[in-house]
Amino acid sequence: MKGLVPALVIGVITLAIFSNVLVIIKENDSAVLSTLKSLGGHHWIGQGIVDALVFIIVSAIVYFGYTTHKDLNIFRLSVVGALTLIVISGVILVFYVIHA
Amino acid sequence: MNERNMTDVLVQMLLSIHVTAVVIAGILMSLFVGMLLFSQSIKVSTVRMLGVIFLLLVILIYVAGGWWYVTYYPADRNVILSGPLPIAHEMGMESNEHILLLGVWLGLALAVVMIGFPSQIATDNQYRKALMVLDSTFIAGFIILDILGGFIAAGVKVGLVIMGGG
Repeated sequence: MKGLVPALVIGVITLAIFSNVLVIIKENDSAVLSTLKSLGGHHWIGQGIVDALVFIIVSAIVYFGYTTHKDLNIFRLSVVGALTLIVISGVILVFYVIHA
Repeated sequence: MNERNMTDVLVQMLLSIHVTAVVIAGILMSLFVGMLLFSQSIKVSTVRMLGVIFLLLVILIYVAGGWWYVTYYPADRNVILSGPLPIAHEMGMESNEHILLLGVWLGLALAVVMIGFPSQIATDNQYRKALMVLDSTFIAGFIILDILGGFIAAGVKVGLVIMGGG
């Protein structure tokens, strides 16, 4: 079970990067926006579904498929996770300031 | 109470539940970081209980906020866009809805760790420090979303004032 913590943190990091890329793509490509809308009735729900799949799949792959990560320094990984989330949130804010 | 009034009440309830859950989750995580920082011995049962409460709050934040956003926000969006502060939607809400998605998954991951690994959090210094860093990130996100939420509310308010000829 110890490997679950790094798997979850890596899942959140991947999700943050993926979600940010998806935001930029969907705001510039109406086909992607329509696909997300058709997936959940609203683009935000569609993105939530895709984000959930990415998080669950990446976390599961890391947890079940990679064993050496169990020796990873969880604290350092968490710092990377925190910095990623802060940078990605900043990018989202700046993107929408420019896009507004 | 007629159907229109019932809808108005439901809208305000959903929004209040969402905001209240965000504030309580932020306060809970602040207290937890304080516990991790200053308390030498933390009870395993306390960590697990806080994890369960936090999990319920994160689910409530997502469901109540998402339901309101998808169902009732379009009316507010039209008010904002026709008012003097369209940036409250174009930047405020657009950023808010996407940063919230990140916060929800971070929150769920934190809750799973708190429920699943309370003894490691109570005894292992590496887990403790990791939790402090990620909890602090959640708190920072909560503050950003709170500021954006206030900005969106201001956009609706001035939009309504303009519509009312004020």
